[in-house]
Amino acid sequence: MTEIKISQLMDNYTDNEFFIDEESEVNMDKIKENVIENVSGKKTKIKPAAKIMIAVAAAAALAVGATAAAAVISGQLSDASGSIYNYEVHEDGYNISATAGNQADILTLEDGRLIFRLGDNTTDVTDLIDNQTPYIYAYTNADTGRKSYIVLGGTPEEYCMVDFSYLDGIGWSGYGCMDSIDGNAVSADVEEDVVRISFRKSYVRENGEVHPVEGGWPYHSHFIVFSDGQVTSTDVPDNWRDECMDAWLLNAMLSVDMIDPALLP
Amino acid sequence: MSEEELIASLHKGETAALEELIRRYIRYVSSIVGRIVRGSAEDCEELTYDVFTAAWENRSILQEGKLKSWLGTVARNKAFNLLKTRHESLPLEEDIIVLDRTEESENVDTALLIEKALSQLETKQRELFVRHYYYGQTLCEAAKEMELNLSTAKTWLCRGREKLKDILEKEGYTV
Repeated sequence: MTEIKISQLMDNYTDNEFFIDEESEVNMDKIKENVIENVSGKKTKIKPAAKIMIAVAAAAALAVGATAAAAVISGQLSDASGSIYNYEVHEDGYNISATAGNQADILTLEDGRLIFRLGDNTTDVTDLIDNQTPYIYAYTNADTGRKSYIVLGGTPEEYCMVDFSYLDGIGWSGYGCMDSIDGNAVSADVEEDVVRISFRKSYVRENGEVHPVEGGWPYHSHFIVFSDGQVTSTDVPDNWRDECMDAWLLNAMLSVDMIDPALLP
Repeated sequence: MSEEELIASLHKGETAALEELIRRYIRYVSSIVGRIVRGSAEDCEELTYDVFTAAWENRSILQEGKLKSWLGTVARNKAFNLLKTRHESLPLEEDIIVLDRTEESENVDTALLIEKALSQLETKQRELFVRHYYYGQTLCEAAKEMELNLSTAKTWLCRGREKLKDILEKEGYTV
């Protein structure tokens, strides 16, 4: 014998008749905005101004984890997609911390088309990009007055966007790769290591699945730093240029002189 | 976008699909929670936010044809849980039915069962049943809003329960 509640049986009921169009006092726009911001990682998943340590290749001049010396240069800037960088350059290295912006709003997949929206610019970039060809949007950074670039490429099945800004004393820094596998803008989980865009794709190629992390979120690379034309992360495998970096991204960076082609194999 | 496409997009984790889900169902969800908690707009907003956040977190289990009922169930549960934490939940009239399942009844679709039972009630009686057992409204409040006297409301509710028991028995349950 089983006791069952009528109210529980009603879990299977859907009210399509009585109170479906009731006026509500809730602020629907605010709820929608909060939900989207939360799932995009802009609110609850980010701890502002946390430190992300960038490892440095032996060939580069800078060392990571500079803390002892007073900052020679420090700065803060925000990019077009709303990511905020706080950075310090010391005599023996540099620190960067960053919070994610609203990349997911800038590049969206709509009915199979990739739509780029920023300010007054709305462009269907689907036919303008592929795995070799980037779309590059240049703008002037409001904080620094320097030229910055939003670079995007790929296909509707797998696309990515990076917003590059130039950090004084450090070099070009990219933020905001969107993982098109689950369609979310990347959030900087500051408790995890920084991974480059290429790592994700390499991992998928090798393992056939996205890199698992605590909480079930895929691992995204969201930070690339170039200094003097070189990638300055020791996480980069030796063959990063010919295997890991997506062609469209490499081509984009070359076309705007972000990296020195002489350094390529 | 069809519901099939919406679900597929949600499964892929596209936030544009979540936006569309919210656009389609926010009024529905907020009216459920609002009707149950009958409290501040802030409670309703928070519960509505929680429901859509839950939908996103559980997007992999969302199924075509069951999306609205899933949202409704989650909305109800969250709203009733809020009332419980505040010790504001009130018992419902004769909410318990004792059943003995048979082999026949194992595969019964309870959604169809409820629909069948309620369809046999007149509109006003069905409304009363829904107000009380779905939205958790007390019989007194429901009767007042429907401009019924309490005795009539009790009789109607009893009729609804009898219909439900009839349907359960026909589907193989012993009540």
